[in-house]
Amino acid sequence: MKTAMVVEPDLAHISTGKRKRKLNNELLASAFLGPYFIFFLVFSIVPIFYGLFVSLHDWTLIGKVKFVGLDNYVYALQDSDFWASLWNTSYFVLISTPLMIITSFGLALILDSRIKGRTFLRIIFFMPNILSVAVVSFIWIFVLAPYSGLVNTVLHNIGLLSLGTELFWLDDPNLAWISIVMITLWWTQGFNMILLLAGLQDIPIDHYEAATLDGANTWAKFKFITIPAMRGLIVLITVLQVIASFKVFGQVWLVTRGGPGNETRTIIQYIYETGFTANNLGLSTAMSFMFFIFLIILSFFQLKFFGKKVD
Amino acid sequence: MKRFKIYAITVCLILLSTLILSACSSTSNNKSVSEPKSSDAAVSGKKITITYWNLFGGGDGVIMNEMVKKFNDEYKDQIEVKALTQDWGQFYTKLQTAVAGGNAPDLAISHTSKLSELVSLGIVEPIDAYSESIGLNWGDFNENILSASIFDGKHYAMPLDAHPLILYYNKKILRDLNLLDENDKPQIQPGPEGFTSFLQKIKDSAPSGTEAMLLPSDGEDPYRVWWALYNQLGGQGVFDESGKKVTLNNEQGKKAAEFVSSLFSSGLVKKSFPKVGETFQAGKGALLPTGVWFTSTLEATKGLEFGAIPFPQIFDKPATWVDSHNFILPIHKKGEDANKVNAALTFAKYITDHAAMWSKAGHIPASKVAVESEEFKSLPLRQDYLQAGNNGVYLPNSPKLWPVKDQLVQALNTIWSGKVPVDKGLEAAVQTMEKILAR
Repeated sequence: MKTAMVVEPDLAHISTGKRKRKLNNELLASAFLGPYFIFFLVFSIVPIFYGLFVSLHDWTLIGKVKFVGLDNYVYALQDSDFWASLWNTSYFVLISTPLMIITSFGLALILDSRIKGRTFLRIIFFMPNILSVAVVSFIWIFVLAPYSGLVNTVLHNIGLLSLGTELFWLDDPNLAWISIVMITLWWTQGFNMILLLAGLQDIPIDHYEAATLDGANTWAKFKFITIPAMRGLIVLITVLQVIASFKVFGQVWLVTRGGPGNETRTIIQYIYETGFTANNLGLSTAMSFMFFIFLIILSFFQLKFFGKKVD
Repeated sequence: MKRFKIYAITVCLILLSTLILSACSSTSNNKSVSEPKSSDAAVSGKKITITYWNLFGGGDGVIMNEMVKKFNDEYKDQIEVKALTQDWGQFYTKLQTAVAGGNAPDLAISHTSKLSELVSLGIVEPIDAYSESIGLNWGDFNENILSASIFDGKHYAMPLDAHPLILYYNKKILRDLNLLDENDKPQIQPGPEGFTSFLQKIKDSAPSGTEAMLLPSDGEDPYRVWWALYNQLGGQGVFDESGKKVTLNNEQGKKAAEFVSSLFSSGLVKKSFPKVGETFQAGKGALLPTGVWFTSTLEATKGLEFGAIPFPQIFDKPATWVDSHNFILPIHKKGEDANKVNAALTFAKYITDHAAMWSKAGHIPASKVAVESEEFKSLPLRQDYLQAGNNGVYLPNSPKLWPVKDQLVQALNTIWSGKVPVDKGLEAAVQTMEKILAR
């Protein structure tokens, strides 16, 4: 690609000095961008088109079996499990996203106020974020275990749970979702918190001082200064969070395996199982594409509706 | 102008890479097996190196590696086996892609329950053509174990072992409760009532903190117990003749599920009990139904006095869950090298003949040669396992067996958790299983 651009001697010759410099800059830029672009092409763009090709076939781990046209897409559209797992994922996004934003925002506000031991708290709040998904999942499997787990033991000791009864955090469909949201919240809120904290610290202090002089109370300051100043950042974090949450897989797979039944099976897990357990890569690629389109549409609407309000 | 050129090149590159990539992987899986040919490199007298993939981790892996080392020492100047242990979860995926990519190992391990999928994908080569040249006598293998590895009358696998579901028991706990007979075997009365009253006795009189029976209420083990009971009741297989309909939702299937479910709902077995195996190792559980592979771990546990019996007959006839490890010959796209195949099978036969050593891990040898060896006879407990191996019932053949079984396990989990009644749960199982079979 680079060679293709160098071979333009005529153009370089006639151009003025300015044009020449511009061309040089472009050449330099493409020299830097080139290597990345090649990787981007080989590892992102090509696989996407290749995936489209695969999704039109009956395809196993061994390779292509036969061309089936849009059959995989038609099958996926009529597949109740596809929709059920897509709903499961959406359900997770719907409950986890608001919680995630509010918790992170709350913690960021605590850290932004001048309380003692802020640095210590900041470390504590952010710490889970550096753990890998496997570590997080196994910690919580221990903590949530019935009979001997920390949560049930504490509930027994403070008398909220009568002795002899146990809460099956991971085996009851409703509790399993609560557990997964709780785990995800504990694990990932730290990152949003740091972003929001940085945003809070960017709000000029004189705004608050002026408000104090005007006799505004804490709530008024929060409502009329903090929230408007943070709106852009909150929208951005919401969009990023929704997309990230839709891709939920690791912690669910490790903690509940999609169980009990298939109650917590996420769309990614279903795609994975279709491809690598049921050995039906064509169908699983078609599902990935439909999920991909779903996410694009979702992001489009998010930006359209939330984006407008951003100043 | 220039921009157009960049776009043109980009598009060309995309198209080109698509072509190259698809060319690489678009292999049809119905290619005929080319005639074995000898390569010049393997003239007699020269050392042959073969690759061998297995999925044995933990205690199994240590023993298998010892056996490979022993073989390599004995066949020093003729054959060298390079063993590679792949991660359990990814093993079959890697095996299939390796065959597709033309980098298949010369020898690999497969579960009996996975064989029909591999055979139907056309990535395993039958062994029959070579059995004479390495002096293999199929009559040397246990019939129950061997017959599960035959497809269309061809031997696609050399069985190494059988690993049935059995019942471990803590001798100390049961002795203190006076529940052992003179041979140190648990005195379980026949019939479902006999078994539950045995559990009730332990529950009533064992010291607190001791569980009567340890069985997780989700995953493979309760499903294996269910499968054992289903077959004890005379349940007939999983599929009808077409292989597309699931027949589990029958009288026997329900009765077996009701029995397992009642163990949990009555509180005889605690629901969702965490770390079942560790609890038994710690001496806090009287009974533990699981596979023979747990034997070596328990034998290595200090201060644990345990015994094991075949899974007890609770219903009409003895039966239990069983699966096996087999040696298979993955297909090489470039054609088979007869010398390598012979070397691989020589190694496989050596391991099956010497499987007494393998049974230290708990598995039952498939080869009668190994079963009759003094080394095997001197091992504790294993003689009892032999019976379990003969009573073991394999899952029927189906190219979709594993994904179908995963769905069965998920549906059974909902029954054990008490959220779904038995008939609804089995109905859901049949639906999801048939959906996968229909694809």
